[in-house]
Amino acid sequence: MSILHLLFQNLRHGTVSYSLPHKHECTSDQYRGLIVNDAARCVGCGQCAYVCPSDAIEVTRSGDNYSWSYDPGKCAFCGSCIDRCKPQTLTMESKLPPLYSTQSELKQVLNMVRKRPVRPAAVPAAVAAKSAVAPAAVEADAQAASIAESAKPAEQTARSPRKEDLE
Amino acid sequence: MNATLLIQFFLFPGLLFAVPAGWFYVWGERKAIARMQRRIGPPLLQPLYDFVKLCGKRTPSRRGIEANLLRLWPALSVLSMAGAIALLPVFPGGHGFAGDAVVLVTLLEIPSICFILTGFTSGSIFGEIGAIREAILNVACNAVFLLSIVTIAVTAKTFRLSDIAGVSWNPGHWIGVFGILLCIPAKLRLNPFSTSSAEQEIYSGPLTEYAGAALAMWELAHGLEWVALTGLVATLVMPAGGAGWLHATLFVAISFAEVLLLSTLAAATGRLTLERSIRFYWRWAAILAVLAISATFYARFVS
Repeated sequence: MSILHLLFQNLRHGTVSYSLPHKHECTSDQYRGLIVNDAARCVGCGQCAYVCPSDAIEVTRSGDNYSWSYDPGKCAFCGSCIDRCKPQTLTMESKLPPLYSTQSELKQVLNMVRKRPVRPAAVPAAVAAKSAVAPAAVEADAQAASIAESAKPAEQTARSPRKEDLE
Repeated sequence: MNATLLIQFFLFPGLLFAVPAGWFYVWGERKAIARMQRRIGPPLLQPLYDFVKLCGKRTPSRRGIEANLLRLWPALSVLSMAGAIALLPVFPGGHGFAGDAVVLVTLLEIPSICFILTGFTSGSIFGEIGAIREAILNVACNAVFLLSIVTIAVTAKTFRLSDIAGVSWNPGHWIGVFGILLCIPAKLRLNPFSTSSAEQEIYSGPLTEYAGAALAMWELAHGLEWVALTGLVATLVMPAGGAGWLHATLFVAISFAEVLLLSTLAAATGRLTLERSIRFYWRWAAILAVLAISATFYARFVS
C-alpha cells in the first residue's frame, strides 16, 4: 500500500515538470545556451569548426573573407568551441534558446573579413627605463618565465595529439 | 437492420460518441499516470493531434510484407469495436436481440486476434514475440473473462444484454463484474499485464513496423477498446430504470471512473513477466471465476 500512498503524495504535491513553451526562465548563469560570436574580435582561425563534434559550426574562407555559420539545430552544447577559441570571442548565452519548428531556422551566418594577427608592439621606452630602475622585478619575471618554460614539455605530453601534430 | 441499431452504431454509443470518448479516455489515462508521476501530462486534445499527425505521415514501403494485410487488421479492429460498442445496452429497455452477449464477447476478441495476426504479418522479430505473448496472455485471461460473462448470464438466466444489465443486486452478478474488471488490464495491454506491447523491451511488439495512417487506426482501435470494455462494466453496474439522459451520463461517469482506477493500477505496478501474469490468471482469478460459476449454477438448481 506504500505505493498508493506515494501516488497520493505525488498528486497532492503537484507537478515538477514545466509545460512547453517554458514559462520559467533559467536562473543559472552556468546554463549552456546558444553560442554567440563576437564578430569584432573573431580572427577566423576556424578552430571552433575543427573541434565541433556535431558540425554545427562551419567556417568557409575565400581569400581574406570568411563566413562563420552556426546551426543550433545541430549543436550539442558541449562547449568545446569555447574552450578552443584563443581570442575568446565565443560565449554561451545563459538563457534558454528559442523554440524552433524547422531545422536551420535559428542558423546564424556571419560574413567577415579576416583580421591579421596582431603583433606585439615594441617595448615602450618608459617601460624599459622602469625595468632598468627595478632590476629585482625583472629578475622575478624572468624566473617565472623559466618555470613556465620548464612546465611546458610535461603539459604537451599530457594532452592528446592535435590533427596538425599528426599531419 | 432496424433504425435503432443503426443509430446505436453511428451515433450513441456508436462511432460519433465512441471516437471522441476513446480519445478522451486515452487522454485521461495518460494524464492520470503523468500526474501520479509528478509530470504535467498531455493536453486534452493530444490524442486527436496524434491521430491527425499520424494520418498525415507517409508509410514507407517494405519488401516481403503484405501491406494490405497490415492495413486490414487495424480496420477490422475498429469495425469490430464499433459494433461491440453499438451492442452495449446503455439505455433502459434496450433494443438488443437474444444472444447478443455472445456476439459482444466475440467482437471484443477480434482486436486481440488482429493484434496477434499483425505481429506475424509484420515480419519483425519483435512483432512475433509480442504476438506470441499476446496469444498466451489472451488464453490465460479469456478463461476468466468468459467464465465471468457466463456467471453473469446464468445469474440473469439469459444471454440478452439488456436483460443482463437490468439484474438487480445479486452476488453472482457482482462477482462476474469483478472478474471482468480483473481481465480488462490484460485486454487493454496495461500494466501489470503489458508484456505484449512492452515499449522498452520489444518496441511495442506487433506495432513495431507500423507507421502513418495504419498506426493511427490502431490508436483509434485502442481508444474504442477502452470505450467498449469500460462501457461493458458500466452497463452491468448501472441501476435499472430511470431516464435515458441519466443512463447516458452514468455510463460516461462510471466508464471514466474505471479509466482512473485502471490508470492508478498501471501507475502503481510494474510490468509482470509472462509467467507471473499467467500464474495470476490461472491460479487466482480462475479459481475465483470457477467458484463463482459453480455457486451460481448450484444456487440456480437449488432454487
